[in-house]
Amino acid sequence: MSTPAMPSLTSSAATSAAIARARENAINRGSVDADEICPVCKSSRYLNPNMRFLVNPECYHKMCESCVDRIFSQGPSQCPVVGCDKILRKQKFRKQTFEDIQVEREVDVRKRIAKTFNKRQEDFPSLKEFNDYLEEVETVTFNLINSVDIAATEAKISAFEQSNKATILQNAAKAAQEAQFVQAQRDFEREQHRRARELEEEAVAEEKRDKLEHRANLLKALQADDADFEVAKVNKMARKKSSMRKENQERRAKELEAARNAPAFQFLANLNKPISEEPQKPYDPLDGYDETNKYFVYRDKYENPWLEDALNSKSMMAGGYLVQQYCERAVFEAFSGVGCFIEDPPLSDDTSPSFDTPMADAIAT
Amino acid sequence: MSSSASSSATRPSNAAAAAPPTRRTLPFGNGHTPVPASVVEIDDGGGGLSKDNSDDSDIDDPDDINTKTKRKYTKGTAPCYHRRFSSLIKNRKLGEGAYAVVNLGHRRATATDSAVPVAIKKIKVNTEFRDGLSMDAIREVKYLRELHHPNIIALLDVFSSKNQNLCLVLEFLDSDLEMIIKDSSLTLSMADVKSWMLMSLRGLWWCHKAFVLHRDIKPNNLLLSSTGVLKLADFGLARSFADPYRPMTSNVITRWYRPPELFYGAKFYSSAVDIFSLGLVFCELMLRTPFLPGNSDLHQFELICQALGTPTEENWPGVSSLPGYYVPHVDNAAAMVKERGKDFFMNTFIAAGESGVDLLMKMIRLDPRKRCTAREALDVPWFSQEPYPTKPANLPKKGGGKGIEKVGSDLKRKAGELFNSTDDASGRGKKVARKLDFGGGG
Repeated sequence: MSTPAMPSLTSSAATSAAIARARENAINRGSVDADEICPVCKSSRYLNPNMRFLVNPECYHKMCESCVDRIFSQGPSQCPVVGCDKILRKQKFRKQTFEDIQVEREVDVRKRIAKTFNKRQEDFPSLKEFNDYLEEVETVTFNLINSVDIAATEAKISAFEQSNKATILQNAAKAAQEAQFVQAQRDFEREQHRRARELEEEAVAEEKRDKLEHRANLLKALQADDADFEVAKVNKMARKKSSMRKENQERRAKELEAARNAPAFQFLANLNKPISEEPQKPYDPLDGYDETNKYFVYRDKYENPWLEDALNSKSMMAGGYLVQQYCERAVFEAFSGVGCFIEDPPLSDDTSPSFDTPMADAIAT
Repeated sequence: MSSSASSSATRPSNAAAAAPPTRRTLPFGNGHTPVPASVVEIDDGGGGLSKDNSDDSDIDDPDDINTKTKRKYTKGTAPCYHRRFSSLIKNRKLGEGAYAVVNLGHRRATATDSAVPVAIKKIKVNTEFRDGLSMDAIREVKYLRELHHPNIIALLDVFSSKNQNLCLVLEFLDSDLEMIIKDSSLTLSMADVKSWMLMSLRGLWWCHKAFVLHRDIKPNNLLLSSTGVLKLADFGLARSFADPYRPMTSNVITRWYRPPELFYGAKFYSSAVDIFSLGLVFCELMLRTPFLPGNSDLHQFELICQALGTPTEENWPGVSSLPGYYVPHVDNAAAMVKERGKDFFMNTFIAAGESGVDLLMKMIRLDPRKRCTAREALDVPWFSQEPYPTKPANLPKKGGGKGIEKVGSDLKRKAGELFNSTDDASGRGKKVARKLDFGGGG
């Protein structure tokens, strides 16, 4: 109860129970026939060597691919196994991963539960509460797997989902990020290994080349008149070269080591940071645009006898026509050209996005 | 500012080397700002300092301006692909409408700017409009030239081709909202929907602020840039509004998104029609299928009555005075639907949450006068609540621009193979030994 290892113990207990069941099933079957003959169409592998079996997570009844095509191509339909009244869809059929169907089902249930109940230890104030939570999750899982109180359990799950929507999403994002991080780390390590290997190969090749060169030089020196002196010179050069090579190698190794630590650390550290927790800017409905008009303000009402007819016309009003919009447009257009000069350049990048007169430039020209 | 800066930058080279080609290829505007061509002309000719320049007189010549604008653009993608394939991608058609063909093109790279993909919309010379241009083209040019907003497609330039076809140079946008809605591999979160609604409302607000009705809002016309920004497009049915006593046609807006007052043949309507359409797009984003897919006008109207309620004098004062007022199943009182309350929408659109449903209900009210305006919609609390709207760059995308991928697939093709194996549905010839190609053709 006090260690977080508890749930994995229970889950492994459940799995071992499932394994025991599987063994029993296999004994009952008594043969590998089940994998040879489709239980629906009874066609055997002898006749169709490429036969593949599929299951649907709705009821886990096994059938061959051609049966699936035959029965479910026209849309959802009832499971062909006698006594099973589940409606299945072709899309949901998939290949069985585990030999035992019970295990397959348990894994599915666990996957589903893990998606919803994805709280972490850091979400809880104390270990005890986390353990309680884990036990709760395990109970739910157990109930689903063994069909105990299905309705109540489902209600529990959906209630949990409803009340923890935000945290579930957050934790899912976190998990995705961690996976990405691990992947990045793996990629990085692979790259490092590759570079180290390359360097090593290069070093070996260089040594070999130097040796050959040294031998050639030595032979040439031996042919010379004062052989002793020349040989000494060549040997000295070779020693110098090899020490230089060694130095080079050491330097490179150091570089590699440094690269493995410093920049990688930087880049991985960045990755590990939670997704840009930059402060949410206050909502700006207009995205930086200014809607105030420089030269005028709209009044709520404009007196105009010419508009009385429109105001009194029932059909115009019912169509959604707004006299106010006309008045605003009239004011707007009256001021459109104000403050806009032909010699000024029209809209350009550095003018702030304010909406004084959108038609001003067009009208001014 | 920018245009005067760029023209002054060209001047020294022009005076010193007297090289007219340099002058010709350099654009007036910087291309990024959608500067109306006509405005630029005047700026360049009138505000210029080099009055004494000999070829200055040409600048005012409309033909010359046209050639210059034309020279800024070319068909096909930028020549980043291998030359061998340039012929394949040269005339890539992006789409063809009733009155225009849209081709992919790019703005030629200049000394300062790299090549930018654009869509060149060539207006067809239609037999129907022998006396002039089609209305749609005129409307599109007329309104797009005036509307500059990040959520409205930018009209970069206009020029005429050699046989006097009108070509509009538009921003290149590679997908639209319909593709996103139909792509079942994508899951759209409420934050994504919120972000798209926010961007389309901002675009619509800008249109309405300039007194332009879009009149064809549908997912198909809400385009998405490669950076995820949504832009209103297709202003072929747009119209300026608010003139009293000037009837407008009620035969606009794609049927599935048409508001009830237009079915009733209202000749005087307002910005509320666009709001209704956008409200239905909102529903579609949540349902991933059209909310009211009527297969005829009558059926459509029945669907509206079913979903929103039957229009009556109570919920829509004056509705019976509209020319086409009609109530389906008028004799059957049981079939009449009261205007739907909040619980109905809460049931259907539970994902939107309470404040989202509030916004939706304000947008698709039966009575156009009760609908909110775009500006009011932007102020609803839904946008400032959690989950916050997704940043455009993080919005789900349709396979990173399928179009380009398709072009690229030419390059993956192995030598000597006639068809792409992926295109070849039957996969025939897959196992047939390839005929060896020893060069020669290439």
